[in-house]
Amino acid sequence: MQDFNRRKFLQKSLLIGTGLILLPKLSKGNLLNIENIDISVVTGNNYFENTVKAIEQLGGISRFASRGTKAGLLVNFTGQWTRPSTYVNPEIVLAVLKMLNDAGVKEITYLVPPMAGYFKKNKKSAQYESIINTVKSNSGEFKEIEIPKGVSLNKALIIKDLFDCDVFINISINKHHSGTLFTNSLKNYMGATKRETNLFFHNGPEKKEGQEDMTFLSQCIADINLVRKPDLCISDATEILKTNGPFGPGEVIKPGKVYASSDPVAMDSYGCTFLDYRPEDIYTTVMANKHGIGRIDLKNLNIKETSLIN
Amino acid sequence: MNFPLMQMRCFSFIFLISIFNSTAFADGLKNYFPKNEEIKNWKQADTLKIYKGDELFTYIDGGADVYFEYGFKQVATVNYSNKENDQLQVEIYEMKDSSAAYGAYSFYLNGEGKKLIAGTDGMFFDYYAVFWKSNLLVVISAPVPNEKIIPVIENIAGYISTKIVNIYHPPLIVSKLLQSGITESSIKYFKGKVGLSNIYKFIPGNAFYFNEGVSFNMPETKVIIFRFNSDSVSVNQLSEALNKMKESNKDAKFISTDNAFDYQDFKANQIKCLAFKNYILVTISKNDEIRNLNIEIVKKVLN
Repeated sequence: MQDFNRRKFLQKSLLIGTGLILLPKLSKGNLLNIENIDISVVTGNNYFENTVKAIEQLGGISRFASRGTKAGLLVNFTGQWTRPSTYVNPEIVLAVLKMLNDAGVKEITYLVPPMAGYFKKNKKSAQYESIINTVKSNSGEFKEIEIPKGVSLNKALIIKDLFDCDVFINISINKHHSGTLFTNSLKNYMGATKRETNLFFHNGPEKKEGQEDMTFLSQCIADINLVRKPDLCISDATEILKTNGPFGPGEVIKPGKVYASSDPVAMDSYGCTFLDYRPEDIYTTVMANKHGIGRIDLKNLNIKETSLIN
Repeated sequence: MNFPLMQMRCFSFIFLISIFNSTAFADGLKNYFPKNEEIKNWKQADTLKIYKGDELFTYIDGGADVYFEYGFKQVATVNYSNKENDQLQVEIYEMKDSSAAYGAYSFYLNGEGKKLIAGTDGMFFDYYAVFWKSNLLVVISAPVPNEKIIPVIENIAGYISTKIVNIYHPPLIVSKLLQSGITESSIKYFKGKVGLSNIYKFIPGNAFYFNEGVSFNMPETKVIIFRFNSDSVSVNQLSEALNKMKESNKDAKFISTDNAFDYQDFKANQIKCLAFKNYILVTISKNDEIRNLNIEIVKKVLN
């Protein structure tokens, strides 16, 4: 009897111990993506709702950001983008801010500052003004980071705040880019790097005027993505600039989609198809896949598509 | 007369003239922009900004690469607004020469615009107008499509166009195509691989080392023409391109004939590459019969 009780006690202890080990993971929701969805895609006219649903399908925001953590947002919404379909729709950022706030994160920081009047572009912003006002700007300080596995890029100056946050969320816009054919999650990383690092991406170690090298630029983008993989990527494919990107103006199509994944390579592999490319046509995607950052085999990915259009 | 002295004076004169010209143009860009109320009810909403050389990356990020491929000097930009707070942005790009301005202009065309009566060539699309004149490219755009401001965009385009005195012709190869009735809005003129990659991607890296190229649409066929220095260079380039494409597309079946080869791309388009005089013609089509007719038309244009 005594032995049995001891056995039972040991079994219970083991269960509790295992539970304690798994609890943080469970609380982060790692096991909540029951369907093992690689990319969650939601179509609809309400881009705020599309964003919430896209994250829900991946297991909810608590899978990525739990109470008391610090979140860093890298959003493609800086000052130079003013034309239709060149910057992330504010509704998508508002939805992320609300979800993070509801999840009880301690702090949210913009890794790049938004353009002046960004949230005023959308009426919903007024409703979330109190949350918008709590978001911190980045420090403006850059840190030199070694990239030992980089092929073309071995060091880079990256915004310091990227390394101070617990959760890194990459919010990009899916659009044409004349320099790399396509831009989305992978290229958005260049928003976190200092201008001189970005110029190196474009010009290479020796500046050759008029001799832009798409391969070099793409390799640098793949290399910079080795630094820190985003915990969550969200992409705006509500309206897509299909030609003359990234600045525009050009042809705009309106798929009305928001999609999300924790794999930036899978994000780009899916996103480039809106521009009639295959993942293997895009150097950044191929090179980032070679680095082992994510998957390019679109056919084998579990893509969950939901429509919110009634 | 002391010849070296005369030569030196001559060089000095040319040097001073060239400095004067470039400075005059740099300062002059701002004079092309309408001042407050020169366009009724519209005024400049901010100060003029100029981005020179590498600063273009600050302005348009990686979109700069294709401009550098053509030859970029500087861009000046001003925002305009009216009492209703409608917004417009006007940009004037100064390119290396008129071919560069034409090439950059051609990348703004997306096929379904209407003719704009301004500049040498001009088109109006959903929310923007674009034209080129001399070595300048002018883009006037609204942050959102707005029918109400279409006449304003046309007014501004007309204002700027009348201020640009010099008119040059488009690149010779483009002139030939336009004279033969090829639809202008489908033409893209390019000078390097960034431009080409945005039109059609043959292989990673360079398939062809060309002097200039042009692409356009014909019935059921996309045509790309590369120009080289001589007939022999075009034949050599075709042969090298075939080797590179075979290496890159191991699954594709290539059929070679004299000065030509065919293969099928991943979208089941039949690609035909053909050396003709100092050109390589590439046709991308699913209809062999119509494609062959189109090739004959293009050959006549290039003759």
